[in-house]
Amino acid sequence: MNYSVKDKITPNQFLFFILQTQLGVGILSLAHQIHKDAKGGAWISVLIGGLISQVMIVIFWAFLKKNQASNFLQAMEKLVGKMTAKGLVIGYSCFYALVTVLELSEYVRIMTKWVFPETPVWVNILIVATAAVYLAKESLRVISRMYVFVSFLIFPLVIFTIFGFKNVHFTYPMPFLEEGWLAIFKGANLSFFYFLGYEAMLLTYFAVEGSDKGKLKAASLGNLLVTIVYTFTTYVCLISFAPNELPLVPEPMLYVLKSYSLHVVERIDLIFLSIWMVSVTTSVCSFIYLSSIGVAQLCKAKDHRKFVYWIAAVCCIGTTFTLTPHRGEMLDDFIKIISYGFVFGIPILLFIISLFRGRKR
Amino acid sequence: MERIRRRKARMPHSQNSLSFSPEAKDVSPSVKENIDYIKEQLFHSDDILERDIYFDDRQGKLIFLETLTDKHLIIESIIKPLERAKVGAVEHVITSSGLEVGESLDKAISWIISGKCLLFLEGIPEMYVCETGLVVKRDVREPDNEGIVRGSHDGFIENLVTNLHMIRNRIENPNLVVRYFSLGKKSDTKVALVYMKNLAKEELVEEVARRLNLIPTDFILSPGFIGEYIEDDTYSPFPQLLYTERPDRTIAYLMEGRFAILTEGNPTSIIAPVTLFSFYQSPDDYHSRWMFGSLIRTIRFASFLIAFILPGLYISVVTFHPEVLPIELIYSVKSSIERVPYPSLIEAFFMELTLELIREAGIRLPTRVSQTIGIVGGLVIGDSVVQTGLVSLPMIIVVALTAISAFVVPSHELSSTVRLLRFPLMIAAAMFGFIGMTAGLFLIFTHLGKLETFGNPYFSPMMPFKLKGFKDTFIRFPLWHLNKSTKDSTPDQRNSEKAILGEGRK
Amino acid sequence: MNSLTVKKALSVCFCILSLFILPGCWDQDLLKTADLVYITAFDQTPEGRLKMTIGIHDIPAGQGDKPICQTYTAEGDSTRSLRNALDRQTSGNFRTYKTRVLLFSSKEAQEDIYPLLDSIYRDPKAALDARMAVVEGEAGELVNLKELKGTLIGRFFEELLLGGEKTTLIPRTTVQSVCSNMLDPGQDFGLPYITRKDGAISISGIAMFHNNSYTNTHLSVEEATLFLVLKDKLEEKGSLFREVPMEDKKVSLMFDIRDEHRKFDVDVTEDGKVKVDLQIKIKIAITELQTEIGSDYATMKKLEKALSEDLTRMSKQVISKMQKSGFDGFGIGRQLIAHHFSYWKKVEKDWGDLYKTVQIEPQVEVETIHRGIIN
Repeated sequence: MNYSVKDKITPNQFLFFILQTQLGVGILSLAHQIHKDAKGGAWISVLIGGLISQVMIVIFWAFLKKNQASNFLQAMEKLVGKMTAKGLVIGYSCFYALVTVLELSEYVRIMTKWVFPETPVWVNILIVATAAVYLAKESLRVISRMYVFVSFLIFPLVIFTIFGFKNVHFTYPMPFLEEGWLAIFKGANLSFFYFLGYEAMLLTYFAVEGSDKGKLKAASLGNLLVTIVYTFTTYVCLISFAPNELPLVPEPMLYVLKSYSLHVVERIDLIFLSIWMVSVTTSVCSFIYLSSIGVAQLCKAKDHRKFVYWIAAVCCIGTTFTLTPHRGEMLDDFIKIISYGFVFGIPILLFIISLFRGRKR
Repeated sequence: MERIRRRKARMPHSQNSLSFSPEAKDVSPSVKENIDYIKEQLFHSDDILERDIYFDDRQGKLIFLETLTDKHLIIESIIKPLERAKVGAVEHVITSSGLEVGESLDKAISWIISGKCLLFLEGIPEMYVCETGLVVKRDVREPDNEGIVRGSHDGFIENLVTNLHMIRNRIENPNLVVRYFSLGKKSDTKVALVYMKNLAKEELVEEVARRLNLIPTDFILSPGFIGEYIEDDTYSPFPQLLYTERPDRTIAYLMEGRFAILTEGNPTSIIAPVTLFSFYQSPDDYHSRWMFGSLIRTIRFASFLIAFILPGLYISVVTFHPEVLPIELIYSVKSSIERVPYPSLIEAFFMELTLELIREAGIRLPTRVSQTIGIVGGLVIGDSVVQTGLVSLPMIIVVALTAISAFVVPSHELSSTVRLLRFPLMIAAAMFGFIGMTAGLFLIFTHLGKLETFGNPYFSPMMPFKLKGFKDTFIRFPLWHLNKSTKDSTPDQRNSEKAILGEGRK
Repeated sequence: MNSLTVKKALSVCFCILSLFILPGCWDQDLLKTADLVYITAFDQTPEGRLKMTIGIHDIPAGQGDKPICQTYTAEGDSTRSLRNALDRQTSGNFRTYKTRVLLFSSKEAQEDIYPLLDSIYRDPKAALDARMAVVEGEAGELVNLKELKGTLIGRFFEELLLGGEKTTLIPRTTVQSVCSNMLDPGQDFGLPYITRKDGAISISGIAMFHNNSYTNTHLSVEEATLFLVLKDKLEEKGSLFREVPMEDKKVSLMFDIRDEHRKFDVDVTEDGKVKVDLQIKIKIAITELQTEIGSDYATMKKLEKALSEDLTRMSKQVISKMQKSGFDGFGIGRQLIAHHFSYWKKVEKDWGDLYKTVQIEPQVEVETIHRGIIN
C-alpha cells in the first residue's frame, strides 16, 4: 500500500495525529501510578518521561530521514533486507494490535467503575470500537482532519482542570525529592509508557508532505503538548490530594472534578469522562489503523479497509479475555516489556545499522 | 416516479423514443402529404391548427400547435409579411426571429412540439421553421421561503431565460459561461450550467458536465431529481447541494468559484460544491453591520447545537445522570416528570411527532385554516398534554426550543437534516447517557469529515481545519477583510492537502 | 455497483434495527423514581450502635407544589448497612447524590469519623461537596424537626453553613476536603459546631478535631473568626467585636476584617525545637464605635496599636486552646513535612505530643481603611 497524493497529510495534521495517538486512557490514572514510585516528585517524572520520548522521536526521525522510501516496509527492505523487513512489519502490526487491546481493556475497566457498573462489557467495547472503526477505515487524511477537529476538546479538558484549583495545598507534594532521584527515574520509566503513541511516526512518516525538518518539528510539538498536559494534570492531582490519599484513588483526575460543582452543572467528571472517551476512541482508532496499514503493506493491498474490520474484531474479542484484574496486569506487564523492544530496542538498532550503511556508501 | 424509472431500466431499447418513425422521411412536394404525415404522427391531436397561405403563386399551409405558439406573433411575423409581399423569397419576407429551412419530416415533429410554426409550400420539398414560441411567465418577485429584510427582492421564476437574464444582468463579465444540457430521455428538459470560467476549477466543471450527461432518468420533475443523481453520497443525511431561489445568493456563490444549475420550468437553482456552513449563511448577514452579522451567525450555530443535542442531553440527564442538575433545578424537574408514566424517550418521540404533525398540517392548509391548527397545536395540545400527564413540562420546553432552533436554519434542507439527526442521538442517549451521545456525535462528525462534494471537503473549514476560513463562517469579518481571504486553490494542486488548505500558494 | 448500494442500504437498515433490538439501558438511574436525600445525621445510641437519620426532600406534584421533608431513622453497625435498611423504608430508590449536609452528634464525632464517610468516598455517584457539622447533643432530633420557620430542615442547615462560611465564621469544609485532611498526618480539621438553645439553632464556633475524631472542645464564635484569619482563610469579610483598653478608658468597637496578609514560618531551631512565627497584617473597617474617641490621625494610630496588641493577646489564647486539645489547625506538621522532612521523619511518631509544646508566636498588625459614613 503506497500513499497517493490524496492520502498525504500536512505537518500540522501530523502533529495532531501524534498528539491524539499519545493522549489516551492514561491521563486519568497517570498521577496515581507515578505517585506510587516517585511520590511528590511525580510531576518531575512525567516531565522526564516526556523528555525521553522526545529523544526517541529524534532517533526515529534520524533513521527515517536517512531511509527515504514510499512506505515503512520499503524503507526497511532497503535497510535490512526483504525477509527481516516483513518480519518487522508483522511485529509492529501485532504490537499495535496488542496496544489496542490494552487501551480497550483499560477503558472498559474505568467505565465499568465510574458509569456503567451493570452494562455488559461487550457493549462498552462495542461503543468505542464502532466509533473507532468507522474512522479508522477512512484514509489517513480523513483521520487526521478528524483529529485536528477533536483536539479542540483539549481546551475544556484543561479548563476543567483549572477549576480544580479551588481546594489545593501547594505543600502536599513537597518535598519533591522525598524518595530521591532514583524513585523519580523509576517513575519516569513508568511514565514513559503513558507517552507511547509517537511510534506511530514509523508507519505514517512517509505520508506527510513537506520537509523532514517540518515533520520533526510537528512530531516534537505534538509530544511537547502531551507532556505539558500530562505534567499539568499530574501536578493538579498532586496538590489536590494528600500524599496518603493519592494511593487510595486510582483515577485522581476524575476525583478532583467530582468534588466540586459549577453553578450551572454539577458532576463535571461525567463531562470529563465523555471528553476522555473521545481521546480514547482516537487512540484506539490510531492503533487499529496503524496495525491494518502494516498488514496492508505486507499484502500489497490497495486499501486497508478490510483489514481494519478484521483487526478490530480480533482486538475486541481479545479484550474480553483480559478483563479480570490479574490478566489485565499480565497484559500490562507484557506490553511494557515488549514495548521496550519495539519502541526502544529495534529503532535504536535500526538507527545504528543505518548509520553504518551510510558510512559504507 | 420510481416505477417509471424501473420500467425504463428493463427496456433499454426505448432510448430512441423521440424519433417516432423508424425510417427517415423527407419533405414531399405535396403539402397535403406533409400535413397528413404530421397529423398522423401527432395522433390528430385537437390543438393542431393549420392555415392556408397563398404566396408566390403557390398554395401553402401553415401548421402549428395552438397551445404552444403565440398567435399574435404568427400573424405579425409570418402571415402579414407574406400577404403584403405576395412574391419573393420566403427567407427574406418572414420577419420571425428564428428561421430555418428543413428537409426532414422527422425533425418537423420535434420542432412542432417545441412551439415552432411550420410553413409548407406546394411543389417545394422544403419547409420553413419559424420561431413563434409562446412564453407564459409570472412576475419576478421575492421567494416566500427565502425572505430577507434588506437587499434585492427579486427571485427566480419558472422561465429559464429570464433567470439567466437576472444572473447575466448582475455579472457583466465575459467569463460568465452558460452551458445548456438537455436532460430526461422523454421530457427533454432544458438545463443550464452556469459558472465563472476564471474562478471555477476546470476539473470541477468537467465533472459536473460528466455527471449531468450520465443522468439516466426519463423526465426531470424538479431540481431535486438532478440533485439526487449528481450528489456524491446519497446515503448521507446532510444536503450536499444548496437550493436557492435568490439570484443574489446564486451570483455570490458563482463569484466564489462554484457553479449553479438552473432548470427550465423551475425557479430553483442548484449550487455546488458547498460546505455545511454555506447553509447557515444568508444574504442578510452581508446587509447588516458586520458585528451584528457575526452575532446572528453565532446564534444560528447555537441553534444548530440546540436543535441537535438538546433532546438527547435532556433524556440522558433524566434517565442516566440526574446528579448533573443543580439542586434547585432537580426538584422541580423531578416533581414534573413524576406524573408521566412513560420513559422519557417515548415522551420525546411522542412530542416530536406531534410537532411534526402540526408543522406538516400547517404547510398544506390555506392561511386562515392554519391559524386554527396553530391554536389547536399550541394551546390545546401543549397545555392539556401536560395536565393529562402524558408529557412533562420540561420535555415541552425542550421540544419547543428544539423546534424553534431547527427553523432558524436558513436552508430548508439542512433544517430537515437537523430534525432527522436528533432521533438517533436521542436513542443513543436513552441507551447510554452521555457516553452514548458522545459516541453518536463522534460518528456524525466523522461522517461529516469524510464527506466530500465534487472533491471539496464538506465540513471545511473545521475539517480540514483552516483558520482563514473562519473569517466568513462562524463570524463575519468586515468585507474588506474577506476580500483578502484565499479563494479555492489552483487546479493543478487540487489533490494535495496543503493546496486544499490554501497553504501551497506563495 | 448495484449490489454495493443494496449492501449499503441493508447495513444501514441493520444498524437502525439493532438500535431498537439492543436492550440497552442497563445502568439507567431514573430521576423520577429517586428519593433524594438532602441531609443525613449520625448519632450514637446508648448501646454504642450507629444511628442514622435522613431527611428526604420532595415536591409532590399537584399539592400546590409545596416542598415537603420526610425523615427516616435506622440503627445498625455500618453506614452502608444502614443505607440498605433505610432504602427498605422509603418508597422510591434511595439516592444520595444530592446530599448537602452531614451532621454528627458530638458523641458520634468523638469516634473516628473516617469509617462513616468511607462508603461516600467509594460511591461514584455520591456527593463530595456536602457540608459537615458537629451538633451538640443529638443530631437526629434536629433532622426530625423537618421544618424550621417555613424552611425545610436540610435547606436550613445548608444555608446556615454556607452563610457561616461567607462571613469567616466556619471553615469551608466539604466531604472531599476533609478526606485529604484526615489522611494527612500533618494537619487537623475543624468542623462547624452547632448548638440548639431554646429552639434557636445557631453556629457556635468550630469543633476541633484531632486524629479524625472530635476532641470535645470547640472554639467560640469570635475565636473561630480569629482562627480562620490566622489561617489565612478570610472569606468576603469577617466581623469581630472587641473591648480595647486605650489609655484610661475602654473602647468597644465592632469591625469587619476586609483584607489580610500573612507570613507563616515554621522553623526548626538548632536544639531541635519547632518555632513558629505567625505574622498577620489585617485591614479593617469599623462598623460600630460605641465610645467616643475622636477621629484625628494620632488617636486612630493609638487605637490601631491598642487593637493590634489586643488581637495578638487573643491570638495567643486561641493558639493555646488549640494546642491544649492537640488540634493542629494551621497545618504546622504539613509545613514540617514540606520544608523539614528529615526532622519530620524523626518526630513523626510523637508529633501529637510534640505539637502541644511547639512555640507559636503570633503577631497581629491592624490598619483601619475606613470607618463608615460618619467620623
